[in-house]
Amino acid sequence: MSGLKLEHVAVKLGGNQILDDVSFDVKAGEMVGLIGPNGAGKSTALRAMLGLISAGGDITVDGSQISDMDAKERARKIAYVPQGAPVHWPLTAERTVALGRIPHLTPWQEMTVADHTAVEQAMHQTDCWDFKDRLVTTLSGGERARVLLARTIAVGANYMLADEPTASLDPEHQLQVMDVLRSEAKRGVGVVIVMHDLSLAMRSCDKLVLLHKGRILAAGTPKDVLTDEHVATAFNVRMAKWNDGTSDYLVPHAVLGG
Amino acid sequence: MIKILQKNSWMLNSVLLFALLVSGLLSGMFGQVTLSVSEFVSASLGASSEGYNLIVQELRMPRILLGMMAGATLGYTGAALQGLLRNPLADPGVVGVSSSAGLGAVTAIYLGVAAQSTFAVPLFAMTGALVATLILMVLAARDSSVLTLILAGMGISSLATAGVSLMMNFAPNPMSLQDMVMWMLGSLENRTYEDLMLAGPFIILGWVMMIGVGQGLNALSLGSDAAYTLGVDLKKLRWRVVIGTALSVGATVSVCGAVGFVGLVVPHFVRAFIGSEPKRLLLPSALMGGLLLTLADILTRLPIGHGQLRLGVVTAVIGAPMFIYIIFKTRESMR
Repeated sequence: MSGLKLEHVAVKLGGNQILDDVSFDVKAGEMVGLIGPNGAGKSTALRAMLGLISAGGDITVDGSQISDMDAKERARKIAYVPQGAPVHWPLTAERTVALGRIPHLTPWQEMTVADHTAVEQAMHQTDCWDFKDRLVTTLSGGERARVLLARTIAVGANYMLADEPTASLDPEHQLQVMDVLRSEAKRGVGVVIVMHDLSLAMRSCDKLVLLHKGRILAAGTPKDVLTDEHVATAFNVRMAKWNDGTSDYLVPHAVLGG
Repeated sequence: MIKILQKNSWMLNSVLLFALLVSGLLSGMFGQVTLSVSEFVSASLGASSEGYNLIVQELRMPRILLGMMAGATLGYTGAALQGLLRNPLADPGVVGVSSSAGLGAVTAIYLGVAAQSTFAVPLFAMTGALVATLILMVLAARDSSVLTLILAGMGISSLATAGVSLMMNFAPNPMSLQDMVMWMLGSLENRTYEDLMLAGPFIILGWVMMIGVGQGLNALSLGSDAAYTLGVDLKKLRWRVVIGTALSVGATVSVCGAVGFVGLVVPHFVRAFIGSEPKRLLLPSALMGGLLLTLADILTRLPIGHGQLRLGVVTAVIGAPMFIYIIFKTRESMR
């Protein structure tokens, strides 16, 4: 029963069918990329998996329906990296990461030694312990993204869902973020990433789910999913492809005629 | 000193608590009759002359206690509203909750129900505060835009002020007109134990509703989606802050009028000592709010100018420039 499973999931927002009959699953230790053109329903699928929006069909995490779970229990199971996440107050990096421990604490409880250890470990993992006392409002985009990633890791959840965690990051930080998520997967966390960079998806993910107009166009290994035909249908572009011996690389090359 | 306070909010809380007690002592000593420390202490225990006993126990004590409770309410709700709306300019006065409570109180006087039941004024005030807080939630809770909040607050207070003006315009007699002016300016003068007994339970009920909201407010620092995925029940959190604010601010305004800016100024000061984490601001903001209002109340008893200085005027004179200063500092984030 383990795994994060979507079965025949459908979402309607404002009269529009955003997701239709979407089924896939994420196992422990697996890194799944959710790809597709703008408006394909990637973020909606992520929001449905988090219980942020109600959806038809079944979404279960390790056997329990997401909609029936206690809020804190659900929060301990699934952690979320929102897109371009804001921090509304000038908190220190460490206090920001510590917010990730909220699912483990009652409203009255102070952080225990175990909580502090989890925070410190997460910050070391994303390489931001050195500036733990700086205010997040004074950090660069890359530093901030690492702090917010550490905040999510600090939850210690079984599954991590990230909505375009590499958007607006330079290449070095993009690779860093993907490597951190990869190492989380290695520790047994099931990771789902919404992303636009197909080369990065090919390089980092075990499995890809390609959404197109709210339905799954293809799902499976990156090689099986990112075929010329699928890419043409979903993205309406032709890709230039090459292989350096370790991975395939894809670069959008020409827009196809309608 | 500041470094030590930053690390330990309990130390700041102890300092503030001590200062609050000292301000209470000072407030008990000053007035038309000035008492020494020992005279005040013995009079509060009923061991002084009959006149002193009367002054301290019947006049000054309820005033001190109400001032502290009112200040604590305004400081706490200011910090809680700021956390909920993720906006450093939120304050029951600025967003129009206090003036709407004032409108409720004035309505009770205008309609004459205040003369029939002593509960009418606080009940009407709390209803006014609740309506204003609900309108505010609808208008400003969706995003954390400073501009939306200020505009919503302006709209709500303009509406409340228009209502109060209308009733003053048609005031049945000069006496009720004077009562209405009192609610506009705010005062702790001539408050009795009856006022304390009337408003106190509602104020405390409002506090109790808001106990333990700090963790949820902390999570909201990351936005409402992230807070939800951290297991925070956002609906419950919003309702607790809204109802708690309406009850405690409504009851506060019903006994001491619309005292503005305390909830704005106090959390801002506290942040300078212990940082911006919403949860850690709540208790020190309550303590400092009590302290500020007690000190402001002492100021109203000093012989300044020709007439009586009103409490709400003192807090506005301190608070309004502060308000502009905070706008100045946060204008970059305005949208």
